[in-house]
Amino acid sequence: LSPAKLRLVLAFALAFSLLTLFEVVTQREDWPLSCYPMYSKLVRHRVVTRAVLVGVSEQGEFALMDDQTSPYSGARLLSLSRQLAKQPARARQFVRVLGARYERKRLREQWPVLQAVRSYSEKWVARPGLAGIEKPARSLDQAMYVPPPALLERLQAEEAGHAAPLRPVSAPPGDRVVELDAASCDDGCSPAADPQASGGSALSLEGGNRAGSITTRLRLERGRYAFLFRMKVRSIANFDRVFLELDGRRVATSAGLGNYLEALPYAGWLWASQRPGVTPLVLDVETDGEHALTLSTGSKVLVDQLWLSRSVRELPVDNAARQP
Amino acid sequence: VKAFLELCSKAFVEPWLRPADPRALAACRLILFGLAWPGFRFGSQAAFAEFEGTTWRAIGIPSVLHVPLFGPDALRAIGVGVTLATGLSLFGLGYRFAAPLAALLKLYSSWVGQSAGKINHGSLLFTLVLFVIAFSHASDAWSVDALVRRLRRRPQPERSAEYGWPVRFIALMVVTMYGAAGLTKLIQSGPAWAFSDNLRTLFLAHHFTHHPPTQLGVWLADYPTLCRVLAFLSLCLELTSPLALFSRYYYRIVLPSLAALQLMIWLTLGVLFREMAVVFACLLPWGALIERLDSLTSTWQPAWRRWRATG
Repeated sequence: LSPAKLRLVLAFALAFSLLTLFEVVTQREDWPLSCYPMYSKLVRHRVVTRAVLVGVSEQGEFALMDDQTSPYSGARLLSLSRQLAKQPARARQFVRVLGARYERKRLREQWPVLQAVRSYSEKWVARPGLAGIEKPARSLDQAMYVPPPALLERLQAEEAGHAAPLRPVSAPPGDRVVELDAASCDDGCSPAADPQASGGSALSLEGGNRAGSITTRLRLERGRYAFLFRMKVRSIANFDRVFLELDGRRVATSAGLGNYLEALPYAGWLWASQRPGVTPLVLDVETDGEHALTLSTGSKVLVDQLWLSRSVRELPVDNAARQP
Repeated sequence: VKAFLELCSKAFVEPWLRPADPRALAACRLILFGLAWPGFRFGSQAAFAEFEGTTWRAIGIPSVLHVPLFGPDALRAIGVGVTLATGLSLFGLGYRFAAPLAALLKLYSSWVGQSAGKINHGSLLFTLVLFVIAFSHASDAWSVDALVRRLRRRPQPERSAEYGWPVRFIALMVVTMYGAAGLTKLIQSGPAWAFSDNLRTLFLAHHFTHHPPTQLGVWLADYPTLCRVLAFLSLCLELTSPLALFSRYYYRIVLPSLAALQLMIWLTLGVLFREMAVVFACLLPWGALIERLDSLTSTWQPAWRRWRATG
């Protein structure tokens, strides 16, 4: 080893050490240099949080495999989902690209149609002996909707006016499908012909200054029902929010139902509930007998069917009408 | 003071001049490029191109230098380049060109992955260590280049400091990294990092967020004082690790202790820094092991020949 080479080698070694020291003193991370901050922050609280990411198909939630989220997986994906929880616009962009990549592999791998990615926080208070670790408290952080490509195509075709009406799809046994007709109309409501509506007609709610509403009475057994309704906005400039009352009591949050235009900005028919990506609203019917369901809105929308389901867990990925 | 500085300087420089066996460095080449070789998967980084502007954002020095993120096809080509160059470096064929190219391409593809939302500190050092081995004479033994040299009846390499400095450089990088990690803990958390329930909570918390292979952390968490002692010892070890560069004896204590610390991190917290395990493997006393093997060979070879001669 010549003296000149030794000097060169030592100079590089010294440079590496000094640059790393600079990173430490300034607490910077200038990749590939670093101050190596792993586990340097004090863990002050005993409440431990972990992020859980799941995919959503028509059948319900499923654990996402690395292949389905590649190139993001493991710690990188969880770290990213924590960052994205604070940046909804960026989260939407991310899920759009992820969904497109998923869809390209879906048929080959026989994966279900992906309609959302949900991020949950699970919390556990760290206790000796890992007491209670198997039952952490779970809360939904965010639901990122991934528009199924077939649905997008269908909505675009409907909006352009060249979609052929779809044949109704059978609802699962035990479900209630309510065809809305003029008898259900309250104020600000009128029947309207629409070739894509179930049976060729729907109820049109006026919106604007004259809030419209629909009330239908039906016999229901006590129990829990997923509530969905088939709706369409007259124009994407309209609002898409609809409110529901069960026996005169408002159900659901202040955000109401519908809320899909941000994710699906099309004037086409859709199965709606709370909002895309989120589980449908669950109606808790406490007694057997006749119940009144009232839909009201200040938006200009069309509604043709209500669907109360015992078995549906998620929104359907198609927009065809249902038949009992 | 001057005499002390001279002593330190001598203690620091002397190990860099110690002659080493070319085969010991060849062992490091095999270990490092063995891990760096990605197999025949070329497209793993190409997918990141689709996320540019959303979740892929250039980080670090390359971003300051405006290094671009290439398109999927170019990234796939770089993937092929990494496979070829690391493969050639592993087998020691055209090493002087292949190894620096492998280190450079690996640096780029590592940067592409690390710019995607999370820095993997475990692989950071490995990427830089590849440059050290790439610019050394690590293919002078156990390589295709060495075989060609032998066939051409060129003189065989002998023990030299040329084969020792890369390992010393790697050791310097390792202790610098741990020293930095220790200092950062002190800066960010102060002595409370060791003298609070920090490590104890970490032991428990990681059973919720990771998958530790043992229940050792849960058992340790039952003894808060022991957890504080362990935290204090590991902090001291990290902070004093750079001193190993000045003392041969401390080097022999610190490096195995750091490797043990890394092993404990895996066993108790379930965090496996695979690349660091490989870097530590380079610091094993390969020269001494090879010498021992040589002496064993020289013992049994004549006996083997005699046994064969007598049928």
